[in-house]
Amino acid sequence: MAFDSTPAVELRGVSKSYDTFQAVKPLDLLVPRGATYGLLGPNGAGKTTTIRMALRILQPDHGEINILGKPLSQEGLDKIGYLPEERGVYKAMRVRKLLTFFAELKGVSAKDSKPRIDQWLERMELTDRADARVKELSKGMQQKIQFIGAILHEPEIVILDEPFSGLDPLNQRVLREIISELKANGRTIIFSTHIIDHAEKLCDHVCIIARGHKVADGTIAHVKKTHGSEFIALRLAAPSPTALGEIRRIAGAAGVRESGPDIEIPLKSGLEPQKVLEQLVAAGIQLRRFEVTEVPLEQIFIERVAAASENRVAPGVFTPGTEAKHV
Amino acid sequence: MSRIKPIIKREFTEAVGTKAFVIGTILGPLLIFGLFGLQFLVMAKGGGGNQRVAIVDASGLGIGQRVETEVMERSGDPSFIARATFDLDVTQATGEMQAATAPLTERIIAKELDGWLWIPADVMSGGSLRYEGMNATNQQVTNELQNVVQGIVQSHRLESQGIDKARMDDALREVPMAVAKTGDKGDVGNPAAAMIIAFAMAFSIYMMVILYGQAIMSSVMEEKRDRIVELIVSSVRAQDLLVGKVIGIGGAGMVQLLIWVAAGALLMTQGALIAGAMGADAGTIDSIMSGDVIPKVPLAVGIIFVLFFGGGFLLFATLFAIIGSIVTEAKEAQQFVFPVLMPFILGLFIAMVAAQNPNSTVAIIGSIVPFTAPMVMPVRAVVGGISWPQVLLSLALLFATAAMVIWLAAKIYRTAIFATGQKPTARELIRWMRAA
Repeated sequence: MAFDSTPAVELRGVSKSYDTFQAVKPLDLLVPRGATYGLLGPNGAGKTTTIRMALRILQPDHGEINILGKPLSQEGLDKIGYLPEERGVYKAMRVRKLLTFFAELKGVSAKDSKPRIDQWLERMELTDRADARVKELSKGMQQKIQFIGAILHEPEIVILDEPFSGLDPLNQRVLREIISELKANGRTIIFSTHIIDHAEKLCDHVCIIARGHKVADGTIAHVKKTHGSEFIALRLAAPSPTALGEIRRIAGAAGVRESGPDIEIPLKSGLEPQKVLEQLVAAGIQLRRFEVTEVPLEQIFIERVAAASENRVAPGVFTPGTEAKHV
Repeated sequence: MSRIKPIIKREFTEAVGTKAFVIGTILGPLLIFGLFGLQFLVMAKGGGGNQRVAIVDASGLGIGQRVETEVMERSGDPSFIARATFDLDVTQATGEMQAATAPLTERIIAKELDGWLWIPADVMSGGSLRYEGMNATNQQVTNELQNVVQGIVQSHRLESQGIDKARMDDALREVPMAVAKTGDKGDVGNPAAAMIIAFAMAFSIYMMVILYGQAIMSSVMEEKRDRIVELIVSSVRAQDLLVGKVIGIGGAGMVQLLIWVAAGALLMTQGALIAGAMGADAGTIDSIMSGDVIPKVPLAVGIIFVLFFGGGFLLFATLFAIIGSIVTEAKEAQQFVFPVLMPFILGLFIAMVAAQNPNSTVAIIGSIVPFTAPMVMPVRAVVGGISWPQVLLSLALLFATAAMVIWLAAKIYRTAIFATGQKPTARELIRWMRAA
């Protein structure tokens, strides 16, 4: 593939309303070619609506959509593979016939798709089910079939809407491996998720959407740099109210966040890790762990989303005491 | 266009591959042949049988004897239906019916006799015959006996007035009338055959839409319910999916219809063979062989039928697809199906009117309004001849309406397929059309 600097997917000022509810507010999105792009946001943030507009399933009210540098067209759509969040297949069809049909929908003839189908069925350990009816397969297998259907035509862009939902850990790993392979082959991968851990492990770019708004985007490093800061992660050998009081005193205005023996101190208000360590040792606090680390993406996500909900711009990093493990 | 192809292919092969289709396709002709053959079998085997009847004649005019003679003569007549054969035993009687028939009733109970017929003394002046027997429900027996006695009594009455029965019959002979249907080119044909074709055309459109329109509706509902549709419309346009579905499933319906028509044609050409195998007599077979059993359809009528059939199916099937897209359950669909079928059923009624009077105002309007034209125009073409300006106007309107409905359907479809909650109100439907 010759190097091409035009983005794989570009949305400019795209918006969509249902009645009075604005599902997507004017949104600019730029997915570079070859990127693994995470579209992050809580449920109802507008991720699926955005994806559907990029796939011509829904017409945007306003804005412009370009696929591989050209306005959205059938040609562009043929270069996209899509796994919708709402998984569905023709249950009465036989696996091979269904996959052939999926390929034909993307302009790949039955003859050309046959070896690819064989190859993928083998890869997914479904060769012996090629002639079974889809309804005879387990839900996990049906999802694999649908995933094969999405990439059978070897698309340049793969859009996966919540691809991990409903998959057991083993199949999640298979999917992660395939995504990595696709990435290594230069494909552009866009996936939406609200499981931030997946995004952080797989993506190089992210965009966080909340309430139809884009609240952060760019490479993960960029997002972290812009919207988060480093912190000190501590683990105490013997947690006690006294030790905690001591740590709070040392942290001062920066505040602390505790979760059992683990304590986090944001690196702000002029705190320096070296000095903090010295003070902790001087105070006689025994440590099991002392580490200067980045703020996790999840933390940025929660804060940005919370800020969007309150309709305000989020301040730097976390506020002391914010409970933030699950979304 | 190329993306409609896989849709058509899938819809067609899936529809043809269902058990319902295979069974329906084979069962249809079997049913036609079966019913056709069965009637002869029933007639041949289920006829009157041998009836042992005692005639007690109190008339004193020898009517009983004459009945016996005449019944025996009649039994040799050819008949469509196998006749009852009679084993008659005539006795003269005087006095009361009760006394004369009591021993006969005993014999009926003992199964030595099937029934008795009492001819009263005053039969000439209006006295009533009486029949009693285990076989009293067999109308072949009672009708035949009544007819024979009536004929004899009537001729007695005429003779007593000095009128010759033979001359009377001659004067009252039926005046026959031959009826022929004048075609466009002055050719003549069997009007019954023309009517058969006309109704077969209207009815086949009706059958197709009812059966396959509903199949399309279910297919759309399935795609919506099973969440398949999103994937499909991410590759092809909603209207392509819609049209592909109508053509694919409609094509399967056409195949079925053609098989049925072929079976029907086979029946018409080979009917005598089947009737013979089922035990029909020579006379019946002759009547099947002769006459214009196979109606001849002019090519122009055939073309008109195919065009209106296609246009009508496209229009109504798309309406069914819209219903499928806006409801989630079959129950909900029913209340939408009725308003769609209303103009369709109206069309069938107008088609019947048109068959009688093809150039009435109702028939002409009905053959031009797109929602009734598919049923009415072919009927008018068969019965009343073809008016090409009207046919072309009607076709243009029909296909323009179908195209508009498809366009509207695609708009509703795009929004409706993602709405899974309550069924929409009329206002919401209009909004969906605007939103898409």
